Amino acid sequence: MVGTRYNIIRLQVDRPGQIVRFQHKIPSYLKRCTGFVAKHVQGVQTDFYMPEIGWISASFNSLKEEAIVAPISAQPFYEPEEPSGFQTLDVSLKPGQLVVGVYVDSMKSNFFPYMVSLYLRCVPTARIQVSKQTDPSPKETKVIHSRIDAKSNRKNCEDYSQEDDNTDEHDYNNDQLCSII
Amino acid sequence: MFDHLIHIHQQFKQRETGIELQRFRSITTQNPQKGYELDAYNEYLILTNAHALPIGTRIISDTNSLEIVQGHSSLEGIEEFSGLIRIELPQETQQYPVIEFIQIVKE
Repeated sequence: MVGTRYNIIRLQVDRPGQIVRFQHKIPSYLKRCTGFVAKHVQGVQTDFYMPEIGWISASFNSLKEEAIVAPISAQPFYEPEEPSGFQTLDVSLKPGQLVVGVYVDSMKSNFFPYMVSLYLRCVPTARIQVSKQTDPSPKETKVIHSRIDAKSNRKNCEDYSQEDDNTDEHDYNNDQLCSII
Repeated sequence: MFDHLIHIHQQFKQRETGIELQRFRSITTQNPQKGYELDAYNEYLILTNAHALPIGTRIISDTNSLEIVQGHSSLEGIEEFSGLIRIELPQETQQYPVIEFIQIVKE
């Protein structure tokens, strides 16, 4: 059974336009992050939906993989909180490395200090690799494809030439749809 | 003596990322324009002269953001930006610097 673990990164925003930096170490036993939610959790009180109060970006594996860029919205206080689903993420984690990112506030008016949370959903299992025996190597695949393409090209071009009653010889080129005389 | 290029190469080596192209890129700011935008999709622009920028300058990009504060040392200012980059000079500034980057295109 796979044990899903959630990492929570909380960010406090105290002034308009603030840039909040964060870094977080994910435990080494977690091998893969499969989803994330970034949301406003506390502080902004609004009567209407604010589609963007700021945005967050994060990279995984100590800056090796830039994986998240997302706006943060604020819900009106009278609307029940949506059970917002996690957005899909598929990042293989290297052990002992950091999630690094920034949050940038973009509220233009009516600023209140508020808090944003980034939830990361991670699992302790690595991605399942397809065995090499069942899967032809990329080189073989390329050769087969090019042969198929060449055959279909030739057939298409023959059809084309028959329609045109053109009996001239053609130089077949795999890189083009039909030969040009 | 601290060398920007050595630092950058070490950074990318740590990330196991090869460098395809490395060159200088600069933005000349001009009075009275305060905002500038530039594209750096699938590449990095690394700021090398943070110390020359007016206090309060903001550089916002898809992957990183920076606000120049008092006492920002040149080492802290070696920041990389990628994607759409917006540079905002403070409204009250009289300083219009040349903003210098090293452009890195990775493999």
